[in-house]
Amino acid sequence: MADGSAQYTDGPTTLLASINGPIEVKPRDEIPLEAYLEITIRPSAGVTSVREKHLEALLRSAISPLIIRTVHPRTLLQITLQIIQHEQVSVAHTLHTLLASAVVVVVLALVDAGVPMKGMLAAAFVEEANRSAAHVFGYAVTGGGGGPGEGLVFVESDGAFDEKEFVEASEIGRKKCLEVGELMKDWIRGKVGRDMKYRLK
Amino acid sequence: MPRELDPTINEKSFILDALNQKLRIDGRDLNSFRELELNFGDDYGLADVRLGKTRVLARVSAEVVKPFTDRPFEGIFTITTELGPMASPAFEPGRQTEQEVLLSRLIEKAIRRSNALDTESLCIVAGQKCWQIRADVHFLSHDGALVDASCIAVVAALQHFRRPDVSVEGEKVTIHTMTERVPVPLSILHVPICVTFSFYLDGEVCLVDATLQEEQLRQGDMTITLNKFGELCQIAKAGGLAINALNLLRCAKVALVKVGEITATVQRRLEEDAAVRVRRDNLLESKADNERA
Repeated sequence: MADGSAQYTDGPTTLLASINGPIEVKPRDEIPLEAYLEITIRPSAGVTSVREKHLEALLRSAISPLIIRTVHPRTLLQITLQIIQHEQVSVAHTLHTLLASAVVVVVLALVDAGVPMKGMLAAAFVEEANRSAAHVFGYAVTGGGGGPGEGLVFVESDGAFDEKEFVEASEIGRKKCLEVGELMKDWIRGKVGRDMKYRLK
Repeated sequence: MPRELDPTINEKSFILDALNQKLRIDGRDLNSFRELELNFGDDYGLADVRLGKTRVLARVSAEVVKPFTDRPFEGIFTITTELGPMASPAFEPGRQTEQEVLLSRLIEKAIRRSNALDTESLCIVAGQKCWQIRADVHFLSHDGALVDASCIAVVAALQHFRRPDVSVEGEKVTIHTMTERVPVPLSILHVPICVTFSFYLDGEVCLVDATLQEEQLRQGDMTITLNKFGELCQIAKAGGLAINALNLLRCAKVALVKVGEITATVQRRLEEDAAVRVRRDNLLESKADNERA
């Protein structure tokens, strides 16, 4: 059984993330001063394709600055993300909707596993009205730089857009992230409340 | 990769001592399963099985492909099982362990080779087009009885799955979307269920649905696959403690009862899900005997 896990459903998308770590690392992957981060994404049907590998790379860039990896040098932190269901219909930016949910679920699982982190990240998917472009915004909702919602820490965009559209989208993204961030905090509060019940008496 | 931690000597002697007195550490009867929880996804063909802390997900999908040249009248059915680090950190991604090979072969034998799915009904145009049904098994949490749980997950997902309807006019094949025509269920010939027995204390004690800890301490195991009519699909016993014929018969009798219970639970959950689906998708209104506006 894993050290920490989280399941997240957003509309038609359900993802399950699990964390193992810090555990023994293969000598090949060992990094002298920090923990090695292994991210595996598994599709719900079929074998891993380029799509999952691309998503792994994006996810890595979003969450690896968040984890304080120097606390556990020469160890392995294993993140496994299972796509349980995801609408396969021809929505233009499926990868980006997945990415936003993936960031949320992995951050929650990391918190559950007790991995040292600089702060929590909430992500939101924003699509232009005519579907010409889509963005995923990641805002730090705790710790990190500045107050909640101030720090935009991650952006992944796709399609054609200009500066004005981007600023507008980022504002929508910020609001959504704050909402998601509050939900995430609520879930964690609930979970800690349940786990620590014996201490609260 | 770290090895699965073996139970400590204290744990071992405690568990075995308790088993000697016909007691299990989770308070269960020797012949009882943990509570079976079965849930279905929004899409057709997604079954989520929980057996205590064990959790297995099966996903069935369909695709039109060319049939094998030596079997032009049959569709293709494949089951993929992959143990990943999600189930336990002892499983390395992309590398098959002996346990994994045994497990996938057992499931394959129980479901595919017992002809649970009628592959001939998957043929669209002989030698040209057929359905390929694919069952992906994901192990989400490992606390023993992976074989039993994944078998339940696959048969439940197969029964839950609906494939798009097809019509053939001469050479022309039309695949109708799910909204255009009511999707069709697969033709399931029988529902095989696996029951795994674990043996302790030189065969004196025999358990069903062992947890991970109990599995680590067992001296031998045996999997019996049956359907609810009592038709035997397989008895798998790969090494371990030798057991006598009387014990085997006793196990088979227990298995038959368990299979009946599990099949009934799966059937009940399928019916409950169908009822929810009818209400949610508003299928009630699509009946011909409704009042006209």
